[in-house]
Amino acid sequence: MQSEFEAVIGLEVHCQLSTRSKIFCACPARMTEGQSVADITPNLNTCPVCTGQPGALPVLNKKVVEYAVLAGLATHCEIQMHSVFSRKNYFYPDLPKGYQISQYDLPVCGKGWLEIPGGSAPKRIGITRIHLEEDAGKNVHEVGYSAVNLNRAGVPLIEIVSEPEMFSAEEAGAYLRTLHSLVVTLGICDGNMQEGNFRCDANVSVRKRGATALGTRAEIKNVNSFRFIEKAIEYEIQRQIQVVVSGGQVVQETRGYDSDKNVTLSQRSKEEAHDYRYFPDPDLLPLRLTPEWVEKLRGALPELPDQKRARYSEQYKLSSQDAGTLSNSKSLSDFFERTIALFPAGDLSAPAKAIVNFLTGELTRLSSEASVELAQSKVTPRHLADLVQVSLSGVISSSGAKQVLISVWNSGAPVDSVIEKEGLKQVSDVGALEPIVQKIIDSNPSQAAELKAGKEKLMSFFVGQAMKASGGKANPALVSQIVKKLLA
Amino acid sequence: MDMNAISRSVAKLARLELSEEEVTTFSDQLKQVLTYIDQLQSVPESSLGAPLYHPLELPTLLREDQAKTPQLDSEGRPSMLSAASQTDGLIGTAYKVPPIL
Repeated sequence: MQSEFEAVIGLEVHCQLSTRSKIFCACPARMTEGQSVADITPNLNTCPVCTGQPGALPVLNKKVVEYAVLAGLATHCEIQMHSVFSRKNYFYPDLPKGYQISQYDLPVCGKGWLEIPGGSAPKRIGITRIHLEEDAGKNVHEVGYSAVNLNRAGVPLIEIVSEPEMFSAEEAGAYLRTLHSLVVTLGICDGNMQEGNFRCDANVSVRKRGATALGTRAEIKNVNSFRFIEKAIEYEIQRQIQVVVSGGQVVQETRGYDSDKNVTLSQRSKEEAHDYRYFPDPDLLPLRLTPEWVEKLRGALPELPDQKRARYSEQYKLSSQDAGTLSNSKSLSDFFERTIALFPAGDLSAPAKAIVNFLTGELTRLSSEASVELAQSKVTPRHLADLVQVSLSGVISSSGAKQVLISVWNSGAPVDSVIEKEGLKQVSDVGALEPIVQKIIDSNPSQAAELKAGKEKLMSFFVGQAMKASGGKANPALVSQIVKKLLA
Repeated sequence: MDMNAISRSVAKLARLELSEEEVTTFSDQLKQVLTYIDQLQSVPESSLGAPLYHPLELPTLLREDQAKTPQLDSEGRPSMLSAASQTDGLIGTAYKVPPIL
């Protein structure tokens, strides 16, 4: 029944730009390093402009313009040389002026696109526009009153609007992760979702498969994690299909997501929807860019995730999946680059593959279990490079390598001394291994005969026995050579 | 076009309370404005230039991204708080407003 339907999803992402000052005044826009918004005295970072006092005039922050253009260039958007600020009028206590300064019919960036990882090939998702606007303040709701804190009012935002071109919660998740890694790589957004640096609204509708017109959409507001937005969209798709299947009609409305119950709930119907009465803000003249300025910014673009992915495949012969995983995470790719740089030039495909395996496997697991960022952990690129070297040269086994990594994660001790201390060095000495192997052959004569007769599968039995007898220290490749030699 | 309904809707958005008499008064005025706009709409688009977003033909000025240290009053509180209602306007250093939720 459900496969008759397909979902159509469009996303609106708000990124707080990581400038020092607010978009239209010189109030600090960022909290001091390590301090969260919650720790700042309410209303400390405010002035007549961002609290909307009569007569106060906004003056646009140059860096904000540059950051928006960088976002536009990185997403292949048409950069508009002429754009206009408009007033979006609505009443809410966190909006002191009674309007939000935003952009409406002439945004700073027009159509563009973003490539997201897909099943067999990357998929291109259209971007409708990117516009500049100011953030609102924050309300804290108490019994009998609400408290308004305007520290966030006037913090610069870009809103990135996608085309309705995603057809599943997974695609929406992939788009968000790709966009997140892009703005963080560009250095224009801190990207901390818990702090609200990167927020997402999802427009979800369903239609009969094959139909071209869009169904009525519901908008899911402000969900603050990738996992929750995917779950919220998935829930909403199923809910709408149920509504249609049972003969009802989807209502255009705003819905909130309750992560405890994993449901979306109606917040505001279309009848109550705002009429924003947009008009050009007479306090601000049009924003004019020059081609020279835009080209200068283009030249300042860092290597972007898709370029990085291509380079990793080319330079280190990484699989497209490995290259994609690395390039989509700034912390993983930074750690990778610093580790691979410790190897002498030449064919680095083997160490590169080994580094990726440790990074995406054991290290990602350790980091998420301990809730510690890789960069803040005791493991350094030097540790990882040493570990890869001893693994590749057969000094330690793969299970031994994992053990070393856990030890290094906990202590930060050098790899050599961990191997020494925990006795993890593989026995690669033929003289020491031969008697062990001989003993195993002697006590398992029938298996030995079968192996000799050509039943190759039995080799793993002998290697396993030798590993057991040596306390896991025997070099498995060497054991199998010795077995062959002794049975010859 | 139900002018009275439009007047009530605009009044609601502007948080204004109108009496029935006022609704009629403003509906008549609004109708005149809209009729005038209809007259403007009848001008052929080809005879017009690009839309004028601002009477001054100058680009906006830009400010370097430098943050100022927040201003404090003599009691060491954020100086903007003096703009709050002096009787029941604050809770700590946050503005106190009627309950939203």
